[in-house]
Amino acid sequence: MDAILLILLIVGGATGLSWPLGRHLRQAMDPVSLDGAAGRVDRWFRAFGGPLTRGDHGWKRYCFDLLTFNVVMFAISFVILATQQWLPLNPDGKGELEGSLIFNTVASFTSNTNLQHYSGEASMSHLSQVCSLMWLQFVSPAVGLAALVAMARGLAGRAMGNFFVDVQRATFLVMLPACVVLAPVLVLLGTPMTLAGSVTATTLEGAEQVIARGPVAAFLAVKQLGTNGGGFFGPNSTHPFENPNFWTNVVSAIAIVVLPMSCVWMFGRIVGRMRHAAVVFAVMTALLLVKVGCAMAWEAAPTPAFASLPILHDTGNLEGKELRFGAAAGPLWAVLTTCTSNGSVNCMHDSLNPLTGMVPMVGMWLNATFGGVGVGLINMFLYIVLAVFLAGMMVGRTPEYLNRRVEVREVKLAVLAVFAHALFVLGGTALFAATPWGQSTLNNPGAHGFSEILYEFSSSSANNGSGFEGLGDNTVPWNVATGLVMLLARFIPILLPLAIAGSMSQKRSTAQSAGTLAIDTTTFGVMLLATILFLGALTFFPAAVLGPVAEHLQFMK
Amino acid sequence: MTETPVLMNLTYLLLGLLVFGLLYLLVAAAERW
Repeated sequence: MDAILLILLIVGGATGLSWPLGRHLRQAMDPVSLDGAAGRVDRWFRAFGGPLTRGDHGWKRYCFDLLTFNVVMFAISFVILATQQWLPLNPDGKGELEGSLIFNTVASFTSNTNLQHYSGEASMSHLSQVCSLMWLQFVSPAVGLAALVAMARGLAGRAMGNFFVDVQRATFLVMLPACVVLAPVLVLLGTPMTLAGSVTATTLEGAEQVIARGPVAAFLAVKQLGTNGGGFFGPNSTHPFENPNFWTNVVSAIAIVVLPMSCVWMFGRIVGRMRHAAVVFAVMTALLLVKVGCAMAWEAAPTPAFASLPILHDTGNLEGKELRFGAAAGPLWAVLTTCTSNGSVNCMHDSLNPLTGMVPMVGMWLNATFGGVGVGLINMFLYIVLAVFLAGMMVGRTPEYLNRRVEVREVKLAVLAVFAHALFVLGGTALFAATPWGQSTLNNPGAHGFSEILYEFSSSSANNGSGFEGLGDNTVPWNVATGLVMLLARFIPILLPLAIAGSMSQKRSTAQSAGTLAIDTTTFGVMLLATILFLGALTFFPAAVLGPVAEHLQFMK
Repeated sequence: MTETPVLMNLTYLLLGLLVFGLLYLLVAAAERW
């Protein structure tokens, strides 16, 4: 009963907030009219950006601007991290970082992944945390949101817009205000916020203990709202300063999903099809709730290996859980953080029961059940293109989406983007499972070790950033491989959908007829759901069998 | 910081820039597909 109330509180709360936030997102990102305040704000952004913000562009120029912005962010952040030992705001004298770790960290934060092969409190200066990593936590979700807005405009038959205006809108009208609201709430609930260094405390036994602290609340707000997930502290949201109590846990969990949910309503408003948005929202919510139900059910008993031990068996699997949140909060968070591309953790995913551990992986494989800010719906758009195509083939009519024909070129690009994700997850896992690059870094043999490798590549390719842990991943091969995967898996599924939207925007709008597949019906929702499940199962089920399913069956012997 | 880490850091920076270069090419190619 407590678990159901927790689900209602978090998923219901986020769903309720998503409607007004979706309305705000539409107004902030793509105002209906530029009269009054909206026009003044637009002029400020265009004045601030100078020549970069002149005029609206097509999809190709939009993509080039998006890439250029990210190249500059990547290079600046790289230089800050590589020189942090000489820069100010380093009260604890943090030293130089190893090159491949810098590459991995900057790729991770530029791509909105925030996979961390380092421990923040031990490695990063305050300047690195605030001016490099926290800055990227603001602008990387802003890039995703800008891309979604551009795609929606294209699908509505309009020019894509101007990237540099959109990214300013997303940063200053969406991310910053949302964080300004959330950070003080987190401070009031007990999260620390200071620019001072560590404090040394003397324990009751007389030993000295160094307690790390810093601008945690500010970091935490954008970490959750921007589907970033990178923790200020190494243990992420299991750390008592990063997630002190039940209410910070609830507020953080709502913050994880609320913006990706709002993006669906924003998309519906921009393309003028709110009923279609409601169908997509319902499909995403159904998948989310199925995963939450499975995770909670499979985590309701201790691991079968403990069956013969004299321990309580009716308390759920408490291994790797923070007892201040209870056994149910761990699997619920694990699902929310991996359905979106957040990646923060409040329990040890390595300690989840084998089948429960598969649920977060499923979230990352599909990567579209709300997904990251902006990019989650872009991923869902790829499935929509394929669903529309398959439905068209079934009834023998030319597929259409939003009154524009979906033809060979669009389907080719969609398949390429979906295939890239599968290639990065499965190819990377195969390479590291077969070589000492992966084998020598495992802490567990057999199926569980395979799951650790599979999870790391799934997390990198889905731009999630959570870790299964149990893996010694701060090595040159891991840093380079996951760094490359994060960058490619971030931008390929942004650039190709923009190309699809650009291509469709050039097509003549066709009138709806009796043969047109209606995209705002339950039938379409079922077709979309089936497409996602069949594609996901055909692609990833064999890998799941070698990892979590094999581990589960081992316990059944 | 010694000379070797500086060279290694530059190598990794160039690796990142190379990935972005490939993505520019992908956009250019996507127009023709």
